[in-house]
Amino acid sequence: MKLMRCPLNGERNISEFVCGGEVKAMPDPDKASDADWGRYLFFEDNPDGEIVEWWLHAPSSYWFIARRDTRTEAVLETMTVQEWRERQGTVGSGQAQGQSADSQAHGAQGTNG
Amino acid sequence: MEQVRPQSFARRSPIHHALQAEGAVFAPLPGGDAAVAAHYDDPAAERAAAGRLALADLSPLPRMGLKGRDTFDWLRAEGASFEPVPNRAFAQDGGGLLALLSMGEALALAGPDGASPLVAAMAALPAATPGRLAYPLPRGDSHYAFALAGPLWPEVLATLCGVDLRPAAFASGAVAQTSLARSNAILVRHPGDDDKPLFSLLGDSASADYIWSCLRRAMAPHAGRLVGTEALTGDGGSGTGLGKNAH
Repeated sequence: MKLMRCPLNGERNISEFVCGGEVKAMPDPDKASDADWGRYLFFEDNPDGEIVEWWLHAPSSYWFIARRDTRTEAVLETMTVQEWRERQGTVGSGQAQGQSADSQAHGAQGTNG
Repeated sequence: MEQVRPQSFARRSPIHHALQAEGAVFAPLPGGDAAVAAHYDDPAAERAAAGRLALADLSPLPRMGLKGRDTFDWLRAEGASFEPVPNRAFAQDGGGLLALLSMGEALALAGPDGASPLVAAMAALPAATPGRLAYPLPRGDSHYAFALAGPLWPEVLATLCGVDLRPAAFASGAVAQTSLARSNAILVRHPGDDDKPLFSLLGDSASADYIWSCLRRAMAPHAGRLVGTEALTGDGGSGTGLGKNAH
């Protein structure tokens, strides 16, 4: 079986994981139009190539970030939300890109770590 | 003497019907709100089996979770013994053990006699406390709790679980949050169990019947046996050291 590395639990069978969709910026709920909000909720870029996604390790309810290649189905790397935010240079800013990841629906469920 | 029936108590194991069908003899827990399968028809054989391969239901025993950023701070203030390492379990003074599921989540399990000051302290917490990001998670009814005892555990669990649980890869005190027979589960190898290996298996109580039957079938080729809590505490004999490990 294909394996995936959870930042908390280590390598596990891919059947233990659930994909939570692309990491994308959340528009300001107070200012976004219905069309923009709908686009945020229901549409994804679905690129042909590298993609950054939310993934869940279901047995531990642990959300993390994975880079994946949609052409080869290869998981390029996985990281904690904290590591991803540090890479984006948004730690502690609470605004802009940092908020975009942290305040998504998946982030709101907690990352357990 | 009148037989103790699990149905006489407010709380009961999700598999109490199966245990009754197997002839389990129940005993009330000290708290008085549940009864646990203490032994079956041959306590001496059960104590011997606990040193080889045995399965017990510990579901009625107390357990609690705690989750949130301040979880470890609260545990330190309570005097809990642990190192801040996820997926590790630590024996606690006064009984029971503490399993750390992440840097912000812990699970406390009582010993087979029901004793655990830590579980009691967690159970006494209010649902939310201003200024503290650590909230209690009642786990007594949400999860089944089974114990698998004896050195043949890798043979049994290898048929149900994808994680390498052999002794070299999964030492005493290790915790795995993984899939057991396709059902989410927490596997805790008790700290200090090198002499007499002991696992606690926890998962969704709605899957208890299914997992119990899977474990029984996986044990069958290795002549595993159902045992009560007395075989694990060593009461009256040379049982494996759940009591010792957990205390």
